[in-house]
Amino acid sequence: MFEISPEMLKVYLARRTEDIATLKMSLKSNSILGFHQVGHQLTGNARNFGFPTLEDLGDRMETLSSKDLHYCGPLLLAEYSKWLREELAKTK
Amino acid sequence: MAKARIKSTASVQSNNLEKFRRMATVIQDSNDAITFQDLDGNILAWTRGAELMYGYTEAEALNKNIVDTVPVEYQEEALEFIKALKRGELVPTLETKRKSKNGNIMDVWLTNTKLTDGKGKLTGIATTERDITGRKHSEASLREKFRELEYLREGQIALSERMRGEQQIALLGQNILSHLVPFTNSQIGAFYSVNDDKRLQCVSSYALENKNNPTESFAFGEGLVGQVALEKRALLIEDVPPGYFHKIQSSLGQMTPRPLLICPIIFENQVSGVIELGSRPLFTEHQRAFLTHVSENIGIAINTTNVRKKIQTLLDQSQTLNEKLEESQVQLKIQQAELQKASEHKSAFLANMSHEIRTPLGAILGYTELLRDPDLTESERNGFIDIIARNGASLSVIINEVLDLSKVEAGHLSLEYLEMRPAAIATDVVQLLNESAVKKGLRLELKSEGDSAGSSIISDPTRVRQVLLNLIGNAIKFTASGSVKVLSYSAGDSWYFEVTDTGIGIPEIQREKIFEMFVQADETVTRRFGGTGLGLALARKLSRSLGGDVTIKKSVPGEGSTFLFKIENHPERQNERSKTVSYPEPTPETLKGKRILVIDDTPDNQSLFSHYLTKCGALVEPALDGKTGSDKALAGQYDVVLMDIHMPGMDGYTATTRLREAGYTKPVIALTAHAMGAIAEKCIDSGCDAYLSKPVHAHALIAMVHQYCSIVP
Repeated sequence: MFEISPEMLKVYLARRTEDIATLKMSLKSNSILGFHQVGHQLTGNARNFGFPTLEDLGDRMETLSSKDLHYCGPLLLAEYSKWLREELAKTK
Repeated sequence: MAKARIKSTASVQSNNLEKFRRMATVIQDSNDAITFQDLDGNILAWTRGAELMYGYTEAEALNKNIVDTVPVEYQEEALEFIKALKRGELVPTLETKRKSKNGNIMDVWLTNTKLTDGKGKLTGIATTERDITGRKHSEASLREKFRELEYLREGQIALSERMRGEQQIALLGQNILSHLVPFTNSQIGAFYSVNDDKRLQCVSSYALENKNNPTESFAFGEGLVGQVALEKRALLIEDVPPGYFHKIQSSLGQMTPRPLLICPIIFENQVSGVIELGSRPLFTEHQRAFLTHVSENIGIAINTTNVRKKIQTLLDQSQTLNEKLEESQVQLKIQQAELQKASEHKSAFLANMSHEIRTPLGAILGYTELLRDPDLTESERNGFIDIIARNGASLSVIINEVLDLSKVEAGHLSLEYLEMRPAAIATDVVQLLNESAVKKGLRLELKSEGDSAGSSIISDPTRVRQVLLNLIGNAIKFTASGSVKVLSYSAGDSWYFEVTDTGIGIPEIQREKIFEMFVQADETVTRRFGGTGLGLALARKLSRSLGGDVTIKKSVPGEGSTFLFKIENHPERQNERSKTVSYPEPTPETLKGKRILVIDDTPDNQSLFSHYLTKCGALVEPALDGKTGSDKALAGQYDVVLMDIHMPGMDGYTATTRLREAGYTKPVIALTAHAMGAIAEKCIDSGCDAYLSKPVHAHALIAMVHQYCSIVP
């Protein structure tokens, strides 16, 4: 009854590109805030849209500490970007 | 001349007569009895000394034979003496017995001298008799004294033997009584020792009729036992009343003892015990003296026993402490060895991790630099990007493993128990890894046994998938040719995956080692295959967190290995949000016509909640922050307000508080990622009616909204 429609999914994935921009901005400004914000959103709803593994990624973003931002931030961004590319490719 | 000679002869004769007269006077006045007898023993002369000794006058004695003065039992000896004398044989000295006139028997010492006539013929004997009765009595007394000393000495030695080495006071008392009672010819006895309460406690008894009674104790001065202890003096009661004593009993009968001897045991002027003896016959002086004599030795023995007991206690404590110390030292050594081992592993891990991280990082940095070249062709640029992405993914795996392990180690690993189909997860993982297997020319096969393929259990699918990815990924990694086969089956409440490869195999000695953190089978494996050595450690820890395990079922070096992954079904741990059965099945009518205000700054959540609610017939209005939302709620007519807590600007707590302060009475349901503990409490405190955790389960959301819609405030 509550299946996510392809349209909703498309919109959801499209919004994820905004997340990528947020994370890049966060890295650029050397601020942890963007990671926490995106991580919080992903842990809050990724599973509902059918992406339980993204919830784990969101958890790692949300718990990222400032001292790890320089090393782990780019890796988290890369992992998230890879995931998004693959999911967007599936919708095409 | 002749006249002179005659005068001289007369003078000599006169001198001899004087000499004889003097000698006769000496003989007559001697205290020794001197008698003359003929060869038949008839008394011929009887001196004053003889009169005094025998009581016979000379006149009475001259009518007697010497045998008449001999006691009957010695007369045979006297007659033999006379017979021998007649044969000319004389016994010069003799100790024998004689009988006085009044019948007293005397010990006498005889000295005999032959009497001859002018021709030298034996005519009789002269006997000097000395009364040695007094001396004989003295000798007997001395012998008796000697016997007493011997008695004491032997008794003391035997007692000392009995007391030697005993460490328990009750057994010491028993040993003492076992010796003293028969030795003193007693029949019963009791032994009292001064206990910690300074009372005389009966600790041992000998042949008592009732052994329970003597267990009572006495204070100093209490009863006869206490009185003896108080006065430090032995007490002898010769004629104890019949009812006083315990009876002396045997299988033949019983009797009551008469005298009672109570003796204190004193050591260094302190009473350390009391001995009580009862006897049928009276105690002799020796026995009493013996008891007094040995009481000091017994006191020493009691003291020695007490000291020995204390020493033994101290030794035992010392021994226990030593054992604990040794145990601690062993534990310390083990811990040191473990620390050393852990330190070595850590060093090896850091060296390895350094390599594992630096390699992809170097590639990423290097190719990123290359990308700056504006003359790159598109193909070159895409190739570089692929390399960077691949190395980034590799780094990501390493970091994820480290983070997961640290979570498990810290106990912070969150598990989400959901209904899952293990066979389906295995299928996903096999499909995912098939490409890498094919690239190595390996066959990757999956087989589900029995009718379990469609079965489901309650576990954490994410972690199960993670473990399977590790095990199957490892199998592919360490297999150069052949196949990797995955077998999935259930048995009882557990689910099993067997991953069998035809790879390098693991030597017996390294089969447990590979599950330790930072450890691979050996350094050559690290050099040949790379890796951090964290994968299997993580897989085992995750599986154990799920109530299962990862073990090596079989492994033959050079032929391959089979890893067994077991997980247990945990229906009792199923998370509330996944218990779909606990919510009523929603329908398009469930919330028909209900007006719901969703206050959430996330467009995704807005669209998601709107999707769920409208599917059930609700009318949904969005608000993207707390201020706008609370304004809308106050202005409109909504059945339920869904309030996100974590929002920029005015958060959910503040917005709800604002609504309640403005008199808003409709239900407000909080939506938060951490609806537990203090946060849940804070939601309620701010005025929310209920709360839901994110990610929100659709059925839970509808059920809760439906429940609050039916409440009319």
